[in-house]
Amino acid sequence: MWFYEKRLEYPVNIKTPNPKLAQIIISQYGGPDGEMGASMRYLSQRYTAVNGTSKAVLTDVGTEELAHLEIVATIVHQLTKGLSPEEIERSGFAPYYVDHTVGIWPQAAGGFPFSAAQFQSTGDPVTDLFEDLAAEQKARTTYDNILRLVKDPEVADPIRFLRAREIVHFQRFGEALRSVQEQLDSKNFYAFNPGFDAPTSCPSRTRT
Amino acid sequence: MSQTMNRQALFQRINEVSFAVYDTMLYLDTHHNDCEAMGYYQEMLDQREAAMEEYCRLYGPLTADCSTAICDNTWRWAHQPWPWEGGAC
Repeated sequence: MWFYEKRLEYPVNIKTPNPKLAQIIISQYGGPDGEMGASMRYLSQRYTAVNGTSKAVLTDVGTEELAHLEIVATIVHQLTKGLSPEEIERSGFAPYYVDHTVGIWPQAAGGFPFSAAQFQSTGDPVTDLFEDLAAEQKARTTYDNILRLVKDPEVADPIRFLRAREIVHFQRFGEALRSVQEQLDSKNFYAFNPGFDAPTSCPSRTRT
Repeated sequence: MSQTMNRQALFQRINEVSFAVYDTMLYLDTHHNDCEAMGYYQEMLDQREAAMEEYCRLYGPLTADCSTAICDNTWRWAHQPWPWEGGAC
C-alpha cells in the first residue's frame, strides 16, 4: 500500500531550459542504472528476503527510489519547458521529441527503452543484496558522470542530493547483507539458498 | 514576512523534518536497538505532523486526506499545484 504526498523529497526549481541536458539526465529515469530499475529491483526482491532487517530496507529504499524517479522526471520536465522547434532542432533533442514531444518516457540517454532485463530478482537473498550494493554504486557513478556535464546550479543541487542518497543506501544494504549472513553457516554462506531451501537448522524464519 | 514567504518557509520545514523522519527510519531498519535514534525519530515525527497539519489548514492539502479540512465546495487536492510544477505547493 502506498499513499501519495504532494511534494518532492528534495525541491526542484529550474528556471533555464536545457534540452541537451534533459536528454542526458533522462538516463536516471529509465536507463540501465536509473531510478525506475532501482525501485522495481528492490520492491520485487523483497518477497524472498529472509529477515525483518532486509525486508524493511528493501521496502523503504524501494519506496524512496520511487520518490527519486519523480525528482528525475521533474528535472527533465523543467529542462524541456517552453522550447521552440528551433531550440529542439539545435540542441539535438529532435529524436526524442519526434516520438514523445516533451512527455516523460523511460529511456536511457542513448535512446534505448527501459527494460526489466537491466536488473535481477534471483530469489536468493544473498545474491540479490550483492546486486543491490553494485546497483547503488552504478547509480552513484552515473550521477558523478552527469555532474561533470552540469553547469547550472539549479540542476546540480538536486542531482547532488540524489548522488548522496546512493551512498546512504549502499551503507544500509551492506548492513542488511551482514544481518542475513550472520544467520547463515559462517563456514559456508552458500550451503543453501535461505530464500528457497528450508533446512530444519535454518534460524531465518524465527529471527528478525 | 509576507504570506508567500511564510508558505515557502513552512513548506521547506516540512521537507526537512520529513527527510529526518525518513532517513532515521532507514537507519532504524538496520539498528533495531538504538533508543536514542528512536527518540529522535519520534521527535521529528511529531514536528512533521504539526507542520503538515498547519500547512493544510493555512494553504491546502499535501495529502488527499486533508483535502476537506477547509470546506469551500472545491476538491482542493486536484487544483493546487503539483510537485513537478516548481515552487511550494
